[in-house]
Amino acid sequence: MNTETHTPQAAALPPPPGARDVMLTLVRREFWEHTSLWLVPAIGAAVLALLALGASQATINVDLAHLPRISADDRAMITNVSQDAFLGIVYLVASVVVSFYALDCLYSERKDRSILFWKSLPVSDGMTVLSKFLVATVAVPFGALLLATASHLIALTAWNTRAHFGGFPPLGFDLTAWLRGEVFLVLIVLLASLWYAPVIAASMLLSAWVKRSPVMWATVGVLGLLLADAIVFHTGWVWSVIRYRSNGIWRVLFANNDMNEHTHLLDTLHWGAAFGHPNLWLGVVAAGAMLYLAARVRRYRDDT
Amino acid sequence: MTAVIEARGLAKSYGARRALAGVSFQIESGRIVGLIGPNGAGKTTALKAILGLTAFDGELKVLGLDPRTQRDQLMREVCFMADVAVLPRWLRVRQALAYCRGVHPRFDEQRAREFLARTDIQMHSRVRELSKGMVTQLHLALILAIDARLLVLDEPTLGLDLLYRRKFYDTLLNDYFDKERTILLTTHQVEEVENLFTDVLFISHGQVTLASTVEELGNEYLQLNVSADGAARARALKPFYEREVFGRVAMFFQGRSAAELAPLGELRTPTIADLFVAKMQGTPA
Repeated sequence: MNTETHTPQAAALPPPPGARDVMLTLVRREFWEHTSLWLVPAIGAAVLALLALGASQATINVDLAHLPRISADDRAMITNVSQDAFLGIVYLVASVVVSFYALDCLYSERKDRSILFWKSLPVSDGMTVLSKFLVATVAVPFGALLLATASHLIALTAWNTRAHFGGFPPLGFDLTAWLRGEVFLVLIVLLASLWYAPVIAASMLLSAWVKRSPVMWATVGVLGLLLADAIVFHTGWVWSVIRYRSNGIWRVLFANNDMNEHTHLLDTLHWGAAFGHPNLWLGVVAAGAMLYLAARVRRYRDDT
Repeated sequence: MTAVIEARGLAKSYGARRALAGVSFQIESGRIVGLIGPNGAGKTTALKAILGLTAFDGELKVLGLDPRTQRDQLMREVCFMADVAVLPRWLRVRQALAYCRGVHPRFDEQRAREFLARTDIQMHSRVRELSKGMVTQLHLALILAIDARLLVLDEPTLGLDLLYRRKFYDTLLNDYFDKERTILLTTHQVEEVENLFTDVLFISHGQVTLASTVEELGNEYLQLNVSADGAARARALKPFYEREVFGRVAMFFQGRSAAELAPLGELRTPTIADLFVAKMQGTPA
């Protein structure tokens, strides 16, 4: 290996961007191209906040004297349930956007031939593929959590403001319950990202692979496998794999939980069993392998 | 000075079609090399091999690196611009600059901004809002700001009008090229840029049919214009190609001295475009 001797003018330039800066640039790039990645969850969170503001303006004729007092436990539960509901809705719309993104991200650059531009710059295929994966499994899900949290805080404030002027029983702000709720959601989002990592990676591999229309290939592929299994093999295996990858980890996490004591979910759920589940980590390993393949395909395919 | 590109037995097939049939060539530093050939001759395949965009057989070193295995390292020193359509349409000018700054260790954003300030391009514009000529200017601005040792251009001015083409090559020569840098360029508009080249590499049917500096071309090849009556005498000296123009015959010779040919008619150095046509259509010399 010969080492490069740099010209003096090269030395005058600012220090080269490190791997972390490059990765941040690559992630920003994804949000420039796929604006729906942040726009759709942001709209979802904004709509929720607006609905909450609207609801807090509603007039209700309730005689407060006849309402049973809300206990501290109930207030904590309402806080947590509403936190969950806000995240659930924002996360749901984000998941839809992410699904299409994962199928599109390595295909669109080939379709519009911009891959020739991206490849004219010193960014490895591995970094590129990894950046897209991190967008789908870290940036968007945790971004959705931030948006949902902000939206929920607006809703809480609206509720409490209205309560302050009468009409609603005040909820107050139970910091401990709220923090526990946030920790719970962070763990849920993290677990979901790990569990669904192979699904994202498989979508990206398909996106790097197919000649056209990855969304159609994904649909036809899954339906085709299901049909072939149902008509020819009668094993039900394909369906069970899909079902398992959809809810398997949640069945482990929520096993034997009667879901009645929401405030204690953080304590009663089987976190150890879920995060220590071999199929979770096998899935992550499989995702790594598929990402590696996707990077190889991007590196060596030549169809521009 | 070591070679910037060294190819030995470079070969590539697409199925049964041989795009490159084991070509060997060498490109020195500080040259502007025209890679010239008809459609499907293997030009783009050769460029793709040099840029590590395609698999190939044979030996190839670019800046001392193997494009197959050291592509990431290579692209720090190599710049590449294909035809105008590769900048993504959704990209904003501002974003293009931020992206290059974020990933390229040798990108000088100030330089790109200075160049863009001389054009009508707005920072907030998206590529899809720009004309073809402006997109090329934007891409050129990015390239000018990158301190690369090798610049590869594949039909960079395809589809542009004459004014933009002229401006493009003027900028390239005046603002970019220096003795430390090497430019490898393919184009179909050979007539327009032939004064630019210091070297030419003709490629046809996957073979290099001519590799020479422009200076040597003048010594090696001569064009003789003779009247129809004088044609027989000149033909005895075995031109490898001849063509009739307005009743006179233009003959192309290789390896003949000027003294030998001058008495027979009007002697001149063939243009690269003429020489290319002669080489492609004439009998192999």
